[in-house]
Amino acid sequence: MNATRENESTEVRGLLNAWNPPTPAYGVPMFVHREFAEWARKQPDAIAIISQEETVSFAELDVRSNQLARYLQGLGAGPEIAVALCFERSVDFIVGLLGIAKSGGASVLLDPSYPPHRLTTMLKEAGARLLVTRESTARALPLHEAVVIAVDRDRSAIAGQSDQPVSDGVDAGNLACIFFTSGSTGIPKAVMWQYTRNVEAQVVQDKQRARPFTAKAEDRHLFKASVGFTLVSLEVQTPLRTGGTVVIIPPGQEQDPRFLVEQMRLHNIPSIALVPTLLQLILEEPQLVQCHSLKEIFTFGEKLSPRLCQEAFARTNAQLTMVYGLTEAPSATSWTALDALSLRPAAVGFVNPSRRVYVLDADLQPLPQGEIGEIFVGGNISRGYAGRPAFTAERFLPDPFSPVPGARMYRSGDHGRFAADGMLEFVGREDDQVKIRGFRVEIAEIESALAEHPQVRTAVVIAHDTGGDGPILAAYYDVRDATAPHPEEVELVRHLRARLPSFMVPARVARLEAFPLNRNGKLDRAAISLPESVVPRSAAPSVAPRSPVEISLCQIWQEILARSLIGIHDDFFDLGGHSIHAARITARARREFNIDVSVTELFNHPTIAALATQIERAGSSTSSPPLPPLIRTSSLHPDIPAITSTMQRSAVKENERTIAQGHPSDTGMFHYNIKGNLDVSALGQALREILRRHHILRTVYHKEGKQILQIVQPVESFQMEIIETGTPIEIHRRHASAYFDLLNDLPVRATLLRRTETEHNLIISLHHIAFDHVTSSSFLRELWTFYGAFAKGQPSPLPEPQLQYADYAAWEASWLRRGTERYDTLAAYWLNQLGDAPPSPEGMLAAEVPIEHPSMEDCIFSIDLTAETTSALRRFAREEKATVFMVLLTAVEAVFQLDGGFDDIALTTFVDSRTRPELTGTFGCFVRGVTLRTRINPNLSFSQILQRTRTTCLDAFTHLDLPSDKIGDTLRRANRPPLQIRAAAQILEATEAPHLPPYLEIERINFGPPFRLGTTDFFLQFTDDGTCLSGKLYSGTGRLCPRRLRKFTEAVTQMLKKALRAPGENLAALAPLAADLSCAGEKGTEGG
Amino acid sequence: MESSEPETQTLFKVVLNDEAQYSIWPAERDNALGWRDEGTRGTREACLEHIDRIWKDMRPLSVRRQMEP
Repeated sequence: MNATRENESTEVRGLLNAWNPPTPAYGVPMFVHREFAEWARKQPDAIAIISQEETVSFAELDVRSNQLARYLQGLGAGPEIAVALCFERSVDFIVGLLGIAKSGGASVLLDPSYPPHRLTTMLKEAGARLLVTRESTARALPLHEAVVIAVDRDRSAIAGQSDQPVSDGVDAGNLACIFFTSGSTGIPKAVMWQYTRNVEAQVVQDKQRARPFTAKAEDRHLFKASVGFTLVSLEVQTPLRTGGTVVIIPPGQEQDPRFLVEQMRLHNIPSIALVPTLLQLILEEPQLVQCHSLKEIFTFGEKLSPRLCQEAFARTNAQLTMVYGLTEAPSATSWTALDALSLRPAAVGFVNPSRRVYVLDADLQPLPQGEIGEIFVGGNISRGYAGRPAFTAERFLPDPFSPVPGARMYRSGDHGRFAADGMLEFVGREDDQVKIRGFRVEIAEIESALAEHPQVRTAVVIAHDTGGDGPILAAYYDVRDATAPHPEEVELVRHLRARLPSFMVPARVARLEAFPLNRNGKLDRAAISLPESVVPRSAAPSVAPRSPVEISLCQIWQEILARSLIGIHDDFFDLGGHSIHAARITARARREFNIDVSVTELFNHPTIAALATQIERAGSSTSSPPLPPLIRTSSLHPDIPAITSTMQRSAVKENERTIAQGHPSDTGMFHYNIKGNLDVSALGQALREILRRHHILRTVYHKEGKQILQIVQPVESFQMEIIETGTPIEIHRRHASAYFDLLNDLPVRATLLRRTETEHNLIISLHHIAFDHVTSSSFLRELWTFYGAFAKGQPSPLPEPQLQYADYAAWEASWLRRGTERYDTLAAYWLNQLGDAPPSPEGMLAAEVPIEHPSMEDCIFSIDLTAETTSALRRFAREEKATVFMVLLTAVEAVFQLDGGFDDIALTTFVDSRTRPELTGTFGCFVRGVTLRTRINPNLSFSQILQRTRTTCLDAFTHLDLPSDKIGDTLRRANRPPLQIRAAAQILEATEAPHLPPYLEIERINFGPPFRLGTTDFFLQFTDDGTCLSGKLYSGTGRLCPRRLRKFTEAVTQMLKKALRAPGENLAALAPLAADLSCAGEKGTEGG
Repeated sequence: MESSEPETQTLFKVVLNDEAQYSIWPAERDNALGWRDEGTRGTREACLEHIDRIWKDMRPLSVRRQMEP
């Protein structure tokens, strides 16, 4: 070889060595999948992934990715084979990432939210031979050559593979994965990463160069990056390699600062990477102060302003580190830890000690310190752009300064310089590449997409710097034929949206008569200013806001989207809105209307008119007129009997009836078995503190003529009973069969059975007049929180509740009477819904002869859904914008339709009526029976029935303010038959568990069903433990046939399985189900 | 318009390293350590076009060899 090392002069070597290590750049192969497999052996039961749907252990993830790897190998995957992976953030994505790596293949990361046309281009550009995705995603793609592996369709084939480890056959130099960057030709460029990467610094100890990305096995990491973005390598690969846990942020919520902060707090997140715009939003969240675990914040992708930097220091104790990196050169190029004074506007950090970074002039010669040139990055850079030899050769040049023969350096296009202390400073770019919310965008790519529109002649895109949330993209064009009708601007926005990922779609599109030119006859970009007058609008004429909510929303939108004259039907996306805007708008709406509106809601209702309707629904149950404010009135006259709510009055009457019939009162019980040194006095104190805080728990009722009033008793009237004789089961039975005289007795009773010094049973009964599901779980949380504090001699750690139940009763009384507009509106709705209600559908399950005393197993039937069905169900619900309950209800309706021929089905459900945020934390019974009525027929598909059910539910839930007593009243007055819907279905949402004191061994004991079975005909109750859904069908009256009930539960399971596989099929096509519920079948079997 | 644009006047050559990775380099400048001439010289565009034609397999040579049976 005749090549010689040039520029051996001491001066040049001095220049280079000042910032670069004397030894070759230090690279190590990073086989994430092998390190992961090692952890799976070491800690098989540790949690690898937490998602909304499921948690996955290391062992399970290992098995699932082994099976996928084998399946992929069978289809030709192996070293140097590009395998595309197209999922939203999900467990399937992570299984895919590991499965592809284990097969030896290189994953090509594709974001399914991109336009299908673009995804196909990307598949081709990366040379992907296989595509791992879901069937629905694959079907949406235009023609391509990759073999599709649809994990939903092919699930059983994949699960049939051996779960044993596979040989990946890869070496450090093999292809690991492919990421895309925007390409100036209009085609995204596929950057090929190899396994060898530069390690991220381990040499320098001082604070300024603190080593980033230190992760421990107990850490959890939020996965919120867009799936095609290199940040995935930090958020997913880091936990997989270090034995930590990936917490998946559901798609759509990655830009919702409130949700993110909640998750950061909930999961004790130690470190997070944020682009400055998102960092800004996170810092504005009040809950951030509670994120005590947060130690490090990394910021990247955009300029960090000194103001934002200072805000970060004011609002959190976390270390703020700025990172500079390039897709073409995996792992950080430079970084710096910031302190309050160290931020210099252009600084992007000190060079990663294991990397080589040069600032060169146009002749590729090193520049002296302080002089501006182009930044080149050497060391272990990527292989280049897949299928693009010329682009690669142009950007990946011989590195004349490296001691390693044949080394290459990447020409970044970024211009910068080294400051005197070695800090790398970024001063801009010569070409048209900009960063939009952290994403690299080639302006030319947008221009060529716009120019594809048949009527556009020339397209120019400019990134206008607004000084606020980063640059705004605006597109300008002129038309081919000035005499032809011009395309609507909104049409051009949609044209772009069909071709480009959302962050690349310009916020404004404007037509120019002529483009301004400079003296050389070239386009003068600087002469084009951001137009306000020409904004893309919906085709409909602009409509001014009508209601106060619309007016306020309009102001918020105009301010945040930086536009004037937004009409109420203008589309948020057409107005250039993106997720950061959405986060800001929802945060403001929350503050101003004090209601819970999420980013997802804004995305689903992207106009002011639609969002206002949502807000009005959430804030008050129908859109007009507003109800009086719900405020604290109860403490004004504590000794005077106060008015009761409809629910309380009917509970008192019902209780009297029950006792008169010789039945025990309607109560709920909690039974704890406690081992260890229980501090009995702290326990009593904790119970008294709960009663002190929540008046409803020490309220008795007073009858005055026909009126029933409530009086709050002093805390001292409550005593925890402490006994030393008897068995737990005896005490339990005594509680279960207790009578409560609500006129004299408090609705809470507690007994502590002291079996030995260190063994106790605590049994608490609560009368239903004072509690519901939400209250009881709050009760238990408060009990153990107070116990923990009082046992240590500490004061109460909880804030006082805002409102008492009596405030709610007073508020209800202020408007809930015939003649008020609200009452009459609600009554009219329910009369219309239920005036001609069909018979209760469970009649089809009636027993030939009622059973006298049914045994327990003839009263309770289980429905257990597998994790697979559960997650398919959740996914389906999400796709259909429905809740899990709505899907379950649809399945029940569908079974009644198929097996009973019902085409008009009414079922009751029980929901929490605390729809007003003020009532969060108020104890009392807010659960309300709501009748849901849906008309269906066998020619509808499951999806269609779900949509009807969804409408039924949403409508019913917005008319919750009329209690069922008043609905009965309304029907009676209209001479309609009373409602006799005995079939009910409900889902109990998982509630936050109490923090039990660690030094005690506390076990919760459940005996029997959680309610009175003897009066229940048909009650299907689902519970959600966060992983699997399970249901119990209760029927204790003996009126229904146990065999048919059991078959009914089997049919519901079958229905779900079939319908989730074919949600678009007509219901009739899903028959027959496992069970034949008809009378003929019943008789036939019995006769045979 | 400017009369002389030095960039367009610069001659380039096509070079490759031992991994058979191609690039371009100023024609008059000595090669970097471990790089050799491929033989083609010309404008930047001509060199890049040539590379587009001849660099069919972008896998590094060592990877190609390792994968051969």
